[in-house]
Amino acid sequence: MKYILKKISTLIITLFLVTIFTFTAFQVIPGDSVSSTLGMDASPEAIQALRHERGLDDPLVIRYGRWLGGVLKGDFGESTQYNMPVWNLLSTRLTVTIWLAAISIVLIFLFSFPIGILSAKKEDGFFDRLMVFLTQTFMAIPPFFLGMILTLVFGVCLKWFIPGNYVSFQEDKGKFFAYLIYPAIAMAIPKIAMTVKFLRSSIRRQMHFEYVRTAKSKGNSKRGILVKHVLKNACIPVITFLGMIIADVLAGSIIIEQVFNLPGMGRLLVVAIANRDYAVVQAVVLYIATIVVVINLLVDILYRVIDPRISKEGGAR
Amino acid sequence: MKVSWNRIIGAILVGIVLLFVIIGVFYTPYDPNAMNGAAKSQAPSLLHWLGTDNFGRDLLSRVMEGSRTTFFVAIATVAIGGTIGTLVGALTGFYGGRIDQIIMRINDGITSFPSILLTLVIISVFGIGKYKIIWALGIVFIPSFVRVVRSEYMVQKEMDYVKTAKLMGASDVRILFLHILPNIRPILVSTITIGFNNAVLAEAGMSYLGLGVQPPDASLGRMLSEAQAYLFSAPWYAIAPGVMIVITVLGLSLVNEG
Repeated sequence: MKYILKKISTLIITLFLVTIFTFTAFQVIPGDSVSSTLGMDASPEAIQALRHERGLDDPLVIRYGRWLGGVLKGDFGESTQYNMPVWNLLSTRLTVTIWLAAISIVLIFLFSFPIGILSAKKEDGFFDRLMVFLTQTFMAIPPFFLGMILTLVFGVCLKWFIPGNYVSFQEDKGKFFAYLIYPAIAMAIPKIAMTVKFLRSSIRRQMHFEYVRTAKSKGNSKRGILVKHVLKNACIPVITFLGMIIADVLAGSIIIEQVFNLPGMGRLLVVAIANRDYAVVQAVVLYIATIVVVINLLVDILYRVIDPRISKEGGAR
Repeated sequence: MKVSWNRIIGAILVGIVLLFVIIGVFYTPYDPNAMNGAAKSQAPSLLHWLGTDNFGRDLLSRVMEGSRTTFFVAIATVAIGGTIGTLVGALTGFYGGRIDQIIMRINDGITSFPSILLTLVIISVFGIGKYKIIWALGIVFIPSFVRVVRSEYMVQKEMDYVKTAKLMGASDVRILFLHILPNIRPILVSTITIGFNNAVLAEAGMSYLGLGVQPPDASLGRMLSEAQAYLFSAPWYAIAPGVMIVITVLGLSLVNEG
């Protein structure tokens, strides 16, 4: 319990630092929302007036405090390109990104464990070697290029879906998921390759430990040892790895959304960066960062539940 | 280095890529930026081996040119990240202490966030463009080098040859860079290779989003981004640069890991 409290306090401090970083990062940029609203040839007086109206001439700390106060109440400010509160922009797009990441993560879990275990079971067998080559190959393909290939194969050639014809969650749930499965696969495949590779080497490392030999000499079958002893130990580092993968998938959706024309957080972020709409950029970055930090916390706690050997003082890594 | 089939395949792939890029420096079949209204979106043929794009530009020539831009960005990125990262890693690993602790805390904090997100934040601060993306990616790549180099220095500094050098009165700078650095070369080379691969993928991703290399410059990511709209009418437009990325990254990782 004390451990969890300590972890949660670290989480709050981390998030606090993230807010400072995301806020100040955008303060060093010359020019602010005023110059983009009023244009290049606005009079200095008009600029000054609007700056004052928007509170931009206050000291940095006061502006940060005001922004943070708003964020805590769910108010991320106003988007300069859409002229509406950032929150309204976020809420609908969040559904798309979260579902996309969730489907992708389910796929990663479903496929990487069986493949990784089968591959490690017969070290250097045909299947194992084939998998080593395939994992290397799939890790070399950028997910967005994979997305384009999937569009080409399943959209253009096989006509299983109509590229670009996204249906929103509210409109039709079935069609929404039927469309989302393709970007989810595109994101999942390289990550499955990474997880298989990691799991395989983790199992192989365990296989050379003394306890495996002892279990073998006691007459246990190879299968029994693998299931009862090795997998348990091999999965511990994999949990940390999967925590990282989940964070990556979430961030990876930023690019994949572009390929499949999905109105998610990523699209919002990219358009906002191109248009220097910093309120939106800050909000999206803060959102993804928060999810990542929370996932890291959950992984740490899960770690301790699974492996009680981990000592109180940060022996987890 | 053990010679395995994977390594041989990898070396062949890397060889092909290198040959391709080097030829591209001296000779391209067509001017990469020359438009040809009579040959718009043509499928691969004897005249245009990889086909042409929507402006009638020869894709083989453009892939040659684009690979060069992409590799330039990747090499510059690794040079920035690798130099700063190695320096910080060497100093923190060698001296340890309070500053080391603080830097490692920051390092761990940064690496726990997805690198795409970090790159995007830096790009939105720096702005868009070829040299800005190099700096953005270079900064994002620092922590991975710090981590690897630091842990190597921590091991090496306890070794007898370092102690002997110290007793013989060698200066710290000498020990750091003339004694220890050559000894961690294999790991450094491997880290640089992985870094290069990640930089190629990152450049492709950012230019694909329109936040990296800008037209009329061709880069592999930029070409993929332009090809997206013609995926139905001219699929070879996307396949040419995409396959180039895959061959490069796969070849290097096979050579690196065997």
